[in-house]
Amino acid sequence: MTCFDELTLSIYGDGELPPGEAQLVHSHLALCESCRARVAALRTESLSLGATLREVAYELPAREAASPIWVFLAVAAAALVGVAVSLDALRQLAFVPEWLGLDPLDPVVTLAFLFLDSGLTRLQEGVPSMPPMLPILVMVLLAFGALRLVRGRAAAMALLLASLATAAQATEVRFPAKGSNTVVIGPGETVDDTLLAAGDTIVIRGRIEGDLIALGRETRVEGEVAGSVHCLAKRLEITGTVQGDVYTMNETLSLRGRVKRSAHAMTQNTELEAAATVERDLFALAREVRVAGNLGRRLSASTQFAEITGTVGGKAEVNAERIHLSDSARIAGDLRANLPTKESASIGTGARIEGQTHIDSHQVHGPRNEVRRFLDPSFYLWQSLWLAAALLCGSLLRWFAPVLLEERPTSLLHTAGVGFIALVVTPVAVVLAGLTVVGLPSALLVLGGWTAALYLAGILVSAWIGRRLLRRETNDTQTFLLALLVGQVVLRVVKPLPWLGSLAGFAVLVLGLGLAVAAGQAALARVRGLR
Amino acid sequence: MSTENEGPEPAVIDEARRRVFGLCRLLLGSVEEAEDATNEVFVRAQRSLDSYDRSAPFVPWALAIARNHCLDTLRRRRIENRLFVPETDDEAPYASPAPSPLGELMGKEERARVREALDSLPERSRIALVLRYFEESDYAAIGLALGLTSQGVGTLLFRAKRQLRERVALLESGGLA
Repeated sequence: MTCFDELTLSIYGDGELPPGEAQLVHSHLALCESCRARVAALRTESLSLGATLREVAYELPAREAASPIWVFLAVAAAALVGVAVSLDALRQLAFVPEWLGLDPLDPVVTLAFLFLDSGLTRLQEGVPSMPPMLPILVMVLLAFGALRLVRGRAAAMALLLASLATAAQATEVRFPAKGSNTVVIGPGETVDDTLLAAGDTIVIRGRIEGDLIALGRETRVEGEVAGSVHCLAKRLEITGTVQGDVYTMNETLSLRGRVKRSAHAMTQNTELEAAATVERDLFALAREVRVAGNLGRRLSASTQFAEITGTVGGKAEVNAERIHLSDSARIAGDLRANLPTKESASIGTGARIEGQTHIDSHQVHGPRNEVRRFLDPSFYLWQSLWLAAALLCGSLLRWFAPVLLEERPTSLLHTAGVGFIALVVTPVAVVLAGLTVVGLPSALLVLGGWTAALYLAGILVSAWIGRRLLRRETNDTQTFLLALLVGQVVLRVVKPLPWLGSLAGFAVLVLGLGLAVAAGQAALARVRGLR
Repeated sequence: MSTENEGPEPAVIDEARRRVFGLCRLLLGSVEEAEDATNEVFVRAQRSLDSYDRSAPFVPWALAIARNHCLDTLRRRRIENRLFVPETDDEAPYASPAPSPLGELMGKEERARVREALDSLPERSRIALVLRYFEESDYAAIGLALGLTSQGVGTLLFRAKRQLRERVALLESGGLA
């Protein structure tokens, strides 16, 4: 029994063999397993080909490279400036309306301030040097543009180098000299730009005209910083003057000098010592907070133990396990404390609280607090705002880099696994790379990308959820936005739930990061392969 | 259905336009050309409306005009374009994969690859594939359009499918020259 050749089987599969031959083949197929399989495969192929041709014929052309990069840059820049202006305006207010529900300890809000506020301060005060974060942002956008507009690797390389150059301009970088591990700005020295210092020990005795970005184990500001201080260190001590704000993540923050604006601290210990002043607000996420000095406006703390022995010029809001106000304490506004029990507050008899005192204890009011949150109009306001932001972000992403949204997770577990690794390994890798001085710029870039990916994870997963629920492909913008909306609503409803919410949040993060990684790989493959 | 003097209803015309565009898109290989061709086809249809038998369905008639127009266009393009690399229906240097790459469910990525592979095929191969698997014409009709015998059509289709498989596989592995 000899099998028929591929050509004959193909014609047979199309049903176009003359009757005599067709009968021969038909009889053969009854006996031959492999020929039966081949004919079946050919028929499947024909059907699939037909379906694909129909889809190709009627599909709307994808919006490929139609978007001019400069329009996008202009829109992004305008949006950034707009947000920065509003955020800064809000902070200038002596009070923030309660219904707005601005939670200063929300890490996203803090990060937003970190990126935008210092930049705007420069613009406002007319200092000619460029705000530190703006060049980095420009750099990232240019890098994106390079990937998108690739018509040749040479052009892409040139764009990437140009983007790195812009970032390098506005910032002076200092690393420890050979043989030492200390960066010192001497007493008479002035740094005209923003200073990025990295090393084991950083001591500023002179003057910095821009911001100070310090990465090190021990950082001491004894001199003057005209801008803000951004610090990632084990210990930050400020004995001098900071004209701007302080944003820091430490083990110990020791404020002994003067901070002319606000201090935002994520630390184990935050101390505002007796002779020290913070002219505006103190936001602290810490294990212990001690305010012995002079705080101009508001104290907002989430901590285990809070002690106030000095002056708080505005209101004091504290989430703590224990709070202690000594006799010398003075609070010009309200005291709102959220404690485990009413007894956890020890308020000295000499303490003066000029506003009202509200002490809520979790035990009694626990469940009601949760419900109260949903009765608060600000909750819905912010949810809608974040929803709108996600939709805007999704559309921008789809317009600018649609390839990033095309990934379909084939194996959920695999995608989640990749995402988990990306979630955990990246910060470690970033820190390690940052320690080797050479790796610092790449580390910062990767950190920025990772942070962006954390936000994008939500968008990617909600688009996926929406797509699944609607059972539709998102070929056009309307369907995509609908899918995104559906997915976002689902996520936002699930997130506030007590146990399910946290689990879902983690799953979204991990899955989304996995999708982002896969999308990045696909984008790279496309850039490299199909040109 | 159609009224005496006014021609087919708008809904029918829309459907015809859509189908004509689809056919032109596949045969001519690009959206822009398909748009031009569709307009041209409807201009011709307008002109020949007198000779159109009202009792016959409008869409297949329009599609027939479209098919002829596309084939004419392709022939003209071939003649005008001396720099065109001569089409080869030759044996391909690569071992042909079994019919599996095209047989699986298509995601957006794979569809894009098929689209690109299709547009890059030699014209006759592409025409044959489109007429058979999109238009569902039989070998006789395809033979008439391309000037081939039924057997010739079978061979052309067989080779065309193989070429398409190869190009899709090539695109999958990362690049078309």
